[in-house]
Amino acid sequence: MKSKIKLPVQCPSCDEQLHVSALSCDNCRTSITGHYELPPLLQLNQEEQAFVYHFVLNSGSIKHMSEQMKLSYPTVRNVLDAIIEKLRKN
Amino acid sequence: MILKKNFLLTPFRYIDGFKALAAGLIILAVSGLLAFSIQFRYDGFLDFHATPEPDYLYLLDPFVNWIIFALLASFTGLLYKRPFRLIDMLGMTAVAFFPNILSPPIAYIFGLSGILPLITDTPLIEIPKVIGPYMLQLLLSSFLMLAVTIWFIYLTFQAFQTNLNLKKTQSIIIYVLLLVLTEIITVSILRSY
Repeated sequence: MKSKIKLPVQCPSCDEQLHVSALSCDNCRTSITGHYELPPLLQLNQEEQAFVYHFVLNSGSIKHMSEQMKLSYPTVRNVLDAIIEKLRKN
Repeated sequence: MILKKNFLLTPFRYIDGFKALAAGLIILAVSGLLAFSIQFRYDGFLDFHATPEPDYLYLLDPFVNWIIFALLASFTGLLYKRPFRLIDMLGMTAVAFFPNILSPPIAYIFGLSGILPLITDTPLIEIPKVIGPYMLQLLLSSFLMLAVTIWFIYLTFQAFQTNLNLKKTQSIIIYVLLLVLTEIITVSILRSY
């Protein structure tokens, strides 16, 4: 989550879901090409990924998340519900 | 996911639990006191009327309106198996009564406690003649009262929706039914004493 380079998950031209077509090893420079689906969590947008990341760091506590985000408990729970629904659809 | 800060229309994104309940109880008490001080009362969830002989019991009116709405909303949550906290429901619905604090000052500024009894005591056919001199006052105050009522309805809907997070169309339909039911129950309770 500290990386400043954002992984694009949606096509900037048509908004469709992007797929992974190339992977490379930093050590030996091996490159692999193919057509790989992004894992469900990576299909979420940056904000949602950050939420899931912090939610796990907070041991899944909505109360701690609401304190950290300075949002009310039901609002945080609603954000979580929206992510759950999106993951289920994916 | 983008949550814009707007404390007037979406305060429930930021306040919850005991803090909301404490603030809400103060709001209810202040609105009751202000109404009592100008001989008005909240004799129904959406009602604000002049009362020539105020009773100290009328100070409870806002609390009755609030608890009936909060309980019915909570019951709806249980019915739809929504995971909500009762403390949030009680607190947020109480805070949603904030616009009601503005009704007594509006009524006082426009002198409604003097005008409204004139209208109710006058035969229907003579009302236009009686309200003629007060037309501007009545129009302006009605406009402001309508704005306050719309804000109040919007906030109670926000409190309801934030807690239960029902689907949009479903939540609007259920909220309207809840509003009607709350109005019927509160009017029948509050006008019985």
